[in-house]
Parts: sequence; structure tokens; C-alpha cells
Amino acid sequence: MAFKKDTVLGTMVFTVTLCLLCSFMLTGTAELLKERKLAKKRDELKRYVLVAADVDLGGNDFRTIFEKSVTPMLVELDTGVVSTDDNVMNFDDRMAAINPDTSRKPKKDTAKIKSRADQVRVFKVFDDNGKLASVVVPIYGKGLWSMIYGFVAVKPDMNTIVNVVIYEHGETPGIGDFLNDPEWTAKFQGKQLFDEKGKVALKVVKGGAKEGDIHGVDAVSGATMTGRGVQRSIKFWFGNEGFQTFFNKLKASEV
Amino acid sequence: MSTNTAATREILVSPIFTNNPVAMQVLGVCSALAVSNSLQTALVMTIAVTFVLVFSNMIISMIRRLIPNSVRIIAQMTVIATLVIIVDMVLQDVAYELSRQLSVFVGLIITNCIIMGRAEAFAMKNPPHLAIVDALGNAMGYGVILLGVAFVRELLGSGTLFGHEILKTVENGGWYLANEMFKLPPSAFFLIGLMIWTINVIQRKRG
Repeated sequence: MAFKKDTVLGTMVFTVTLCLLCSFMLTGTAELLKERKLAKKRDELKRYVLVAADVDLGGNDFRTIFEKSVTPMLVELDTGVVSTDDNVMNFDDRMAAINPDTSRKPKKDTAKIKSRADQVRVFKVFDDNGKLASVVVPIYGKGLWSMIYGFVAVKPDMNTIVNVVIYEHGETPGIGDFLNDPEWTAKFQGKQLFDEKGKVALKVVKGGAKEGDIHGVDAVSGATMTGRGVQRSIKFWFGNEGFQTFFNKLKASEV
Repeated sequence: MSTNTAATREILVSPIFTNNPVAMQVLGVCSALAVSNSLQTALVMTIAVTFVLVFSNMIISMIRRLIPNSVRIIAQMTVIATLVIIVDMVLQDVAYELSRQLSVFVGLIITNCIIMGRAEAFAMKNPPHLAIVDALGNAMGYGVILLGVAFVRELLGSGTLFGHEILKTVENGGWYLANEMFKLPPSAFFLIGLMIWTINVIQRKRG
């Protein structure tokens, strides 16, 4: 055989060929699974929206329920202008948030997100009679180690929280992962986002919220920064650089 | 031909018991500790390891005459790593929840000494069909230990097998007080230690 494997050239040729072959195998597999992965991501999103909106699935498939009672739409945050088209579910919010053409630096970055997308995907959830039941909006912000991503569902009074779901975070395992605990997020149910003056008043209270506190949610000891991260995310996203304009429009029933 | 099949049989059977990679060579113990708290994860892990081991042995054996001596470990590593990443991607696609439970341990198959060891010790010197048989034998040896440990840990730790209730625990209104220690990794140490001991005693009796 002409191929002398133990020469320098032979070794080089071998390693380069092997690396190329292996990388083809990897990219091939990734490409094959890509469509299914995206579909799975979309499904997961739908499921979390329904959990946030506290919709009773009643044994039905969540996809059919989603099709029936949820309308996804894009909101221009600064103006509150809403647009809907068939492609809303494919809107890549992470990409939009880092692309300089579709995002900007927040003036007051309470949630430490560095750049905020101009457009955000929100969901209107309707009940069986076709009446608006809640509006589900995404929030995210920095905790101790990581970005915490979640959905908040708000009642049509644009003040009372239906439910909160946190679907992605990288906080300390065993300490910060109470975020995934439905029992903890259920503490948000029925709380009010804003005080009488219309400022964001929701707080994660260390040492436990007082009985009857309509703005306070219990913090978890040992995870101060994680709780603070959630509070600051809420403060940012329901403030004037977040959904305030959109909410005001909704209240005035212009959307 | 008959000696040939006998030799092949020996290659397949000996790693399951007499020369078990986990119990006799004490290889690949790290993952055996981590994923053996339920039968389901142990089974998926065994399948993943079997896939990687069989294909890595086969590929490396096929190209063994082409691998330059100076980079042979790196070449083996590349093949193994590629296969592991493929397994990881497929697993995330078909069983997302399980892949989350197995977390880093699927990726850590790359560093599993059994696979590296078989590639270097066997696949580099033998033709593909024998390499595949050897891989199957070793994967089964790994699987037997893993599933054995997982069986005990899941039964005593949670009172279930494959998630089905066998011993009704006190929490669910039964009589069995679950031994929490078996849910934690250290218990796998004791169990594997006991297994190594038993196998050694039997081996010695046989002479």
C-alpha cells in the first residue's frame, strides 16, 4: 500500500480525514434532528403558556387547547402596537434580543439583561365563551448565576396575576431550583403587580410576606439573589421599558 | 471452525462474569454510581454505552491498519467522542426527560474507561467481527452490574421497579419504610463492593 501511515505526512492526512468524517457525521445528525427539535421547542412553549395561564386541560391534548384558546402576537414594546401573522410561533425571541438591529440597550437595566428586543411575543388566552381570560407575557432577568426565563399571566384588569411559570434557569441546584416548584410559583396567584400609583409593587419578601399582603411573595432563605432576580425581572418587564405601554393600551381596549 | 466459534463464545461470555469490566477491572465505576438509582436510567445508560462501545470498536477495528501509532489514542478518542455526541443528540430527541435525568453522564461516556480500554486493548489488534463480539460482551458485563445495582437501589430506596410499586412505602400508606440511603450515590459503592467480593469468592472456589 502506498499509504505510509507513520510518516509525518501520513499522520497529517489521517487526522484531517478522520476529523472531517467525524464532523460530517455530527453535522448530519444535527441536521436530521433539527426540524423535530424546533417542533419540540414550540410544543414546550405552548405547554408553558398554558400552565402560566392556568388553563384546565381537562384531559385534552395541550396542542388542540392551545390552537383553540390562545392567540400569539408580537408587541412593539415602545409603542404598544400589536401585530399577528402565521409566523409568530417561529419568532426567535432570544435572537431578537441580541441582534443590534432589533434590540436596544435599556435605559434603566434593573433586570440586567443588557439588551432588550424591540418586539416581544405575548399570548392572549380566551375562555370557552371567547372572552379574554388572561394575557401571558414573557419575562427574564439575571439571578445569581444565570438568566431566569419565565411567563407571567395577568388577568384582564392588567394587575392581578393568574400564575407564574419559570421554565429555564441555571441557578444553584438544590438551593435556587425552587423556581421550578409549582408550589412556590403558586404563591404569585392572585397577587397584584401595581400599587395605586401604577408603579410595580410586587416584591419577593425575605422572611415571608405578611398575611394579606397583596404585593408580597415569600422568598426562600439561602437563595436571596435568585428571589431578587425574579423580583427585578418583574419590576423591569412591567415597568415603562417593558409592557407598560402595551398594558395601558389593553386597558383602554385599543388592542 | 469449532475452535473458532469456541473462541468467539469465550470473547462474548468472559466479560459478563469472569472478567467483568466493572467488577474485575474496576473500570467505568463513576457512571455506575451516578445513574444506578433507578432501573430506567440504568437501562438507558446501558443501551447508550452498548451503542457507543459496539460502533467504536467496529470503526476502530476497521481502520486499525490506517491509524498512525503516534496519534492512535487521539484517533480513538475522536471516534468515541463523535459517537457519544450522536447518542446524546438522539437521546434528547427521543427521550428528553430521561436525557435530563442522565444529564452530564451521557457526555461522560467519552471518558468511560471501558470503551477506551476495549478500543486500545482489543479493537486495535483484532478484525471487526471479533471486535463487535467483544464490545457486546463488555457492554453486557457493564449492563449486568449497572442493572443489578439499580435493581437493589430502586427496590430498597423507593420501593419500586421501573417505576411500578412493589413495596408499598409508608408515605403512600403502606408498610415499607424506604431506606433513603439507597437513593444516594454512596450506596452504589457498597453494592458494587459486595458484588466484587461475591464474584471474587466464587472465582477463587472455582480455582
